[in-house]
Amino acid sequence: MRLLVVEDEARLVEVLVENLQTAGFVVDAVSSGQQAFEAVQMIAYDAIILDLGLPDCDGIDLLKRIRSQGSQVPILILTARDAVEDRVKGLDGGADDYLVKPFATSELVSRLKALLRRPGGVLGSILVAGNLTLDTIARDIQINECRVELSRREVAVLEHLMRRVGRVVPKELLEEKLYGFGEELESNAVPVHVHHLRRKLEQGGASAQIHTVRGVGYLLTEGRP
Amino acid sequence: MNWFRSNSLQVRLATRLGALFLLATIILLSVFLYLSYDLTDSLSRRDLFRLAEELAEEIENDGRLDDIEELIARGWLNNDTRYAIFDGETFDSESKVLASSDTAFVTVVLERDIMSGGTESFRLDEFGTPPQNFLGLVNIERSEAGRVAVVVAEPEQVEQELMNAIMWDVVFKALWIVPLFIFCTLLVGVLAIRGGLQPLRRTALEAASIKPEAISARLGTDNLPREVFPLVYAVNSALDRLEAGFELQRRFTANAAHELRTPLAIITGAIDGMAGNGNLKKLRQDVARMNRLVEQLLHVARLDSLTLKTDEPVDLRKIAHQVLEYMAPLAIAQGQSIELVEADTPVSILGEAHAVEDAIRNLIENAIIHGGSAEDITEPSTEAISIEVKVHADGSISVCDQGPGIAVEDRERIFDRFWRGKNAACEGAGLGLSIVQEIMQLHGGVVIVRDNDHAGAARGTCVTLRFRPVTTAH
Repeated sequence: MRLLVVEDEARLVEVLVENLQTAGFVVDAVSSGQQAFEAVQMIAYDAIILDLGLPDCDGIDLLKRIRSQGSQVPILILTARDAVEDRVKGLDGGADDYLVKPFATSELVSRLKALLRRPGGVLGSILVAGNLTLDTIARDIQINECRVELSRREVAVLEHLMRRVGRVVPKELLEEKLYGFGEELESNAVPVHVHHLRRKLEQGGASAQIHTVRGVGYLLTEGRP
Repeated sequence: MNWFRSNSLQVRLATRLGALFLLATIILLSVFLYLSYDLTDSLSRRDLFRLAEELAEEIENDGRLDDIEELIARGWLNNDTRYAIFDGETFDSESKVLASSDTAFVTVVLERDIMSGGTESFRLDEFGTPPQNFLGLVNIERSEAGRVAVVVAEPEQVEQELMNAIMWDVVFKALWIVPLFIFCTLLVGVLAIRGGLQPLRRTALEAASIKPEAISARLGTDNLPREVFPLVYAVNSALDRLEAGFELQRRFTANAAHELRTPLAIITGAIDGMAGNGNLKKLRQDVARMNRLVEQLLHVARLDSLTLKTDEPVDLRKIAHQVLEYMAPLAIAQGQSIELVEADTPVSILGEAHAVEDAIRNLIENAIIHGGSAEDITEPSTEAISIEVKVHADGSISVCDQGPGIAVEDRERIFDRFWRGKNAACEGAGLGLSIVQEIMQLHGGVVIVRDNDHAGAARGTCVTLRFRPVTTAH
């Protein structure tokens, strides 16, 4: 997967490129808005990491220019400004996610993976969490390459948890998704499905764990395989 | 004389006006009295002149005084009136006396050697029986018998009585106007000051409403007395300079954020990229701690300089949800569980959503750091809730942990900046609760710290934030 890093701070570029390469990405780096725009015209990147403070133009303007070309490439904003207006401006401008400096590399990588996992993203068809994989098209779940049988609703719940590994998925969101199946939903349907899912993952030897944040939702951690 | 130096313009003006009026009254009265004496004097003289004239008119050709009765009847003469009429323009002991009231008067007049021609007034003390003071006048008059010197005198007492009568009349019937006048003037003066100071009072109200949130407000200059305008203008210019200072501080904060974060991002990234051993793990923790410290410092700086609009209604439940969503992964990574218990209906409070979010996040961070790690919990496998966040219907939120707790004697000091618990091993800069405290003060709320008395919790701390609820129920 090929990424473009748009950042003017040379030392940060160096570190970013090295870490992202270690994580398995192919990385190009440019240091100005103009170079970035030209690079995007030539190469179809899988994702762009964009610093808002650029020497020749505002990152938001570049973002809007790229989007105005009809490009749907996932863009993650890096910013040193965490004022709310800046975040909102970035997301309104068409960014898919933002990260405030300083950040842990693992956080950056997991956010990138989440962006790539989104429908249309390159990682869209197969979701991975530790030794657990889910093929979103074939609805096929494997732990250590052994198939696990799950109900349709359990697969739906797992898919949403796996799309946001390490982040809380609100209970309301899961309920909404389960309603889509058209059948009547018990008030405790989500906890019941999560309970079953958790037991099946445990029995199958999955490293990933489902945690309950009571009153809020659920989250899936990858764990060590 | 503190009274004179009073700081109230009204009192100052009233006292000065009062003193001025008192002085003016005294001067006025003195002048009036002097003029009155003068007036009675001249009135007496005029009377005597006319009496002399009348007497001269009654002198016949032969030099006799005719018709004294008529003069008496017309009130010109009475028993006390003395007169002597000499032939010729001057008189001495040789002169012929044409008429006189009594010889004693003639004798006295001659003794006195009063006349040397022309008009002259004189006093005659202790004359007649009983002795009286007389005011007299000599005048040369024309008569049918030629020029005559007429000497007339009347007891002074009569004049004195007249004067007293006038004085009495004036003082007791007219002078009472003076105090009334003073009173009215003072009243008008005080009212004028009150009216004049009204815009000043309005300006004071405006000035009182200027807070850090409304630093761009200025004092109005409409209808302001010209005398006060320079003061208001100076205050407004001072506010301009202050605002510029605030703005500078704000920009500094934003710049500092940018300048500090980028190098920190480099360090963090570089360490993340290194192959790990034990030392590197510690280094990573150190950098993480430094990141957190910088974050908190910037928060403190921002709270100090930034202006918050804390009277927007916001839903505390919604904010708590958001905070838990992004804090839960951290808690779980630390081997803790976290739970949100909330009221059934939205809990509306007055506040600024992001500041409220900051306060709650700081509490949860504290709970995660100090709330005991997985090893401390006796049975990690059980689903014990180690951090509990509760949103109450009355507009408060509490965060309870099962950590070592906070000693009662420390509870005052935990809000001090850079104060850290005795347990030096725990990370953190000691800014979290000071930030929370500051946010709550800006919101007009309170922070309550108490022991976790939740059933099953052997120890731990509950920190409750009580916000101002939205009272107007629709």
